[in-house]
Amino acid sequence: MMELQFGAEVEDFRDEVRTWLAEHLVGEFAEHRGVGGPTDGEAWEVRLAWDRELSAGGWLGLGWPREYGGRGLGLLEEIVFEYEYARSGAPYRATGNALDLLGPMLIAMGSEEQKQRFIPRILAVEELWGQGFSEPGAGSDLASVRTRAELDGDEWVLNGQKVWTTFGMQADWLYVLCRTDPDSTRHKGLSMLLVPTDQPGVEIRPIRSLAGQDEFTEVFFTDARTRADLVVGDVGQGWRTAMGTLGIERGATLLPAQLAYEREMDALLELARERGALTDPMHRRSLLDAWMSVRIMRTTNLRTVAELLQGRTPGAQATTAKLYASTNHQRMGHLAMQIEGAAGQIVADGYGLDVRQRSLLISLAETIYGGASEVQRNIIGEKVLGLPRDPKPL
Amino acid sequence: MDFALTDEQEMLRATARQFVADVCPPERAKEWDEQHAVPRELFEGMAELGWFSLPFAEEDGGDGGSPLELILIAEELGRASFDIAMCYIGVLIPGLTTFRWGSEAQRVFIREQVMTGRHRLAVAMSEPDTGSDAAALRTQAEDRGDHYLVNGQKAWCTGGGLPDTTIATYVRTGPREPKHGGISLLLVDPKTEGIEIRRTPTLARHILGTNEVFFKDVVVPKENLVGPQDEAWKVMLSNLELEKVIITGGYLGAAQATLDEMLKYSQDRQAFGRPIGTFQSLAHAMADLQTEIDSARLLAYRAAWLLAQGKPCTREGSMAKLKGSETYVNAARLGMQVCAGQGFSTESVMSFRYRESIVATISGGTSQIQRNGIARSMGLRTY
Ligand SMILES: Cc1cc2nc3c(=O)[nH]c(=O)nc-3n(C[C@H](O)[C@H](O)[C@H](O)COP(=O)(O)OP(=O)(O)OC[C@H]3O[C@@H](n4cnc5c(N)ncnc54)[C@H](O)[C@@H]3O)c2cc1C
Ligand SMILES: Cc1cc2nc3c(=O)[nH]c(=O)nc-3n(C[C@H](O)[C@H](O)[C@H](O)COP(=O)(O)OP(=O)(O)OC[C@H]3O[C@@H](n4cnc5c(N)ncnc54)[C@H](O)[C@@H]3O)c2cc1C
Repeated sequence: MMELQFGAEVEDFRDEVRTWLAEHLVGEFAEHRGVGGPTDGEAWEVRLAWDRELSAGGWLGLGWPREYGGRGLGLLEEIVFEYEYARSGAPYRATGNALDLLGPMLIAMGSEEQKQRFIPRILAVEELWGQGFSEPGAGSDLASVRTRAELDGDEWVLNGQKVWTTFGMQADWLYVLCRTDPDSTRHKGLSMLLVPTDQPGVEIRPIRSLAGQDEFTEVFFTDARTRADLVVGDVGQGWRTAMGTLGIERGATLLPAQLAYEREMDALLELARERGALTDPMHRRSLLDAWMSVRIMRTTNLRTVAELLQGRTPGAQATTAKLYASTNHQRMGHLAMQIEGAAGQIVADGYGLDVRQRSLLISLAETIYGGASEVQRNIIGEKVLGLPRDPKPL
Repeated sequence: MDFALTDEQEMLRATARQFVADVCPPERAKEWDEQHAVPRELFEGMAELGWFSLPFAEEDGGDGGSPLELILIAEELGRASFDIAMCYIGVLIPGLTTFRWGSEAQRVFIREQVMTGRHRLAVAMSEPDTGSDAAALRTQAEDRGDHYLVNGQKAWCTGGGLPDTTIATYVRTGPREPKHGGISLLLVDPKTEGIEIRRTPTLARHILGTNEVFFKDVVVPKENLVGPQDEAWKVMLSNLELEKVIITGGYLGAAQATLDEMLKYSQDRQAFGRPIGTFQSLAHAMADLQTEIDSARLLAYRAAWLLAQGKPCTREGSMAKLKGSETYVNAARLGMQVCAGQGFSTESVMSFRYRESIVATISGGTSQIQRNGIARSMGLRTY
């Protein structure tokens, strides 16, 4: 697996991280090494407790400003921390959505009051957040959002439906993209509202996903209410705010993702060795392809991290990374199943999936969320290659 | 060359399609899968239509149906779900094998019980440590004069846990070497003392269900031996090609239905003001898929034609199974991409299709084993 040196200036910091992890990643937490993912709700309670442990140690929001409870550290420290964190195998943070998406959005675009109000509670793991963007009629084409919000005195009143909201059942708050100008179309007239879920006007229902969990939900707003000042960015500028979140360069999470792929690749080779599949030429070829794809991801990710650390805008490789990784990860999952043979079909009672099964099924979603592969290709075609734009909406 | 179906074949296909629409549309198959249910009406319905006796000769109580006709039925059933197709194929194949090699009494049993749908057969060949290398099986049947004493363990016995089912069990009656010698086929009543059946929880294929079967000092009467003792490898091979070809029919039906469903979804679902099917990236992917499905179908039909002529089709049967199963997996994967969030919800038929498809390239002989067979027919011996 990838071993990195980060230079003398962060050696002390790195030691501090390692020591803390060694001391705290014990007991139940250690038993849940490698568990969870951005859309994987496994062992939720343990992971939440682990997040609180991290919070108490001051390890959440490393790069966030001190005045809101962050540590105000630089990107290099963040990268070092996430790398060591991933190497330790610590569980995937349950509060990932707030830490990776909402928090940075608030810091970049929120009002002073919003930052004071929400950031400390994110860092204290007191409030959990869900993303309410997609709707039954608006997925890749997010600008088709129809959920409406109207001002009634000092409150917004929301009506409409969101769908595929990850961890909606656990969320205390949702950040919701909705139409605040009833006469507007597409990107105009949208706003980003922060909406509390604990109220009669919000109904959240679980949707069972292919990976066998209820982390997926649909959210119904029926005269749901939120305070008039809980708009992130300007009213009517929700599209800009939303694109801001989607565009946040998650430089610090690139290496952990890479380590996860490398672990999976090592496990796949081990499985192949156990099953004697290394002698089958077809399996060997597929294993080689998989291994090469993971090495290419490594090169790509390291290059992007280096560029970010040098303060440069990442090159074209960063734009292609998601498409490449998600597609190859899916292939890897199928290969593992094939190598395992019939035994790969066996689940535990109650549809209990093992790591490999879960990884394969979740990989099916990786080519869909965060910009489906087809949309990624459009972006690469237009932004990187300068090809003519996709036909405009009819 | 003539690609047309006869009027009778067209009628058979229409009947089968209607049967699926009435008895087991995909949404219902999905429910059965989720409830681990095997509905009586399914087997009864197939028996009433005469499908369990179709391939037998007329003088044996059948209709002299050809392999192509069996494919047509399997294709239509596969449109419901591949598991549904296996409810048919899984009984038919051991029935044909037993009838072909069996004693007079066994033939009467097949004719009166199995062809009429009153009773079913399941196959127990694989063991925990022998899958692709099936001939290495170890379950032991000791000759005790008028009976065999069976000890050992089988795995993946699909349908073996259902009521009114006899398990066609491959056992070792002779020495381990040479491994293809010394194997025999016994008809075993799962209610016999010493047999324990445990359902294996799996990702998919919950309608028929698959099982481990444990044998502890199980007494099996000698008259339950099918074909010559120690020569069951030959017995098993005698219908292997037909099995591959009909199974391919099941894959084809499932793949075609998967494509039809995503096609419909892509015509209804709007993004950026147009049906998503009009985006070339999806349209071409679906065009490629239809091409793949048609290639697999032609391979299967050719193999069926060879079988009907009494010609060997080891290579052609393997090609059909390889292409058919791989195509079904590809179809389901594309279906998940096209249906996106919708597909990822277990409410969608597409998620059911995908779950079912994963194992297609493993069960019934893995893709690697098919490739080995094809390569061997080309004079290449892979290691
Ligand atoms: C596991 C998971 C978790 C999710 N979590 C959240 C969440 O927390 N919050 C949230 O708001 N959303 C969430 N989503 C929703 C996700 O953002 C959408 O599924 C995604 O945007 C795709 O939208 P859609 O499902 O409506 O598919 P559609 O947009 O309908 O796409 C259907 C198909 O059409 C293709 N397509 C669409 N437009 C084009 C085009 N221009 N050119 C070519 N092809 C095109 C797509 O690539 C896809 O193959 C989640 C989804 C999944 C699977
Ligand atoms: C849903 C389902 C239903 C089934 N139903 C039945 C049933 O009713 N009755 C029954 O007897 N069995 C049944 N089986 C078992 C099935 O026949 C075996 O799973 C199959 O033969 C593969 O064996 P295996 O799973 O042990 O894989 P293995 O043989 O262990 O193979 C593992 C991997 O190694 C590869 N491999 C193995 N040997 C070679 C080689 N020589 N060259 C190249 N690659 C190789 C395989 O292709 C595969 O990718 C069923 C299986 C499943 C999944």
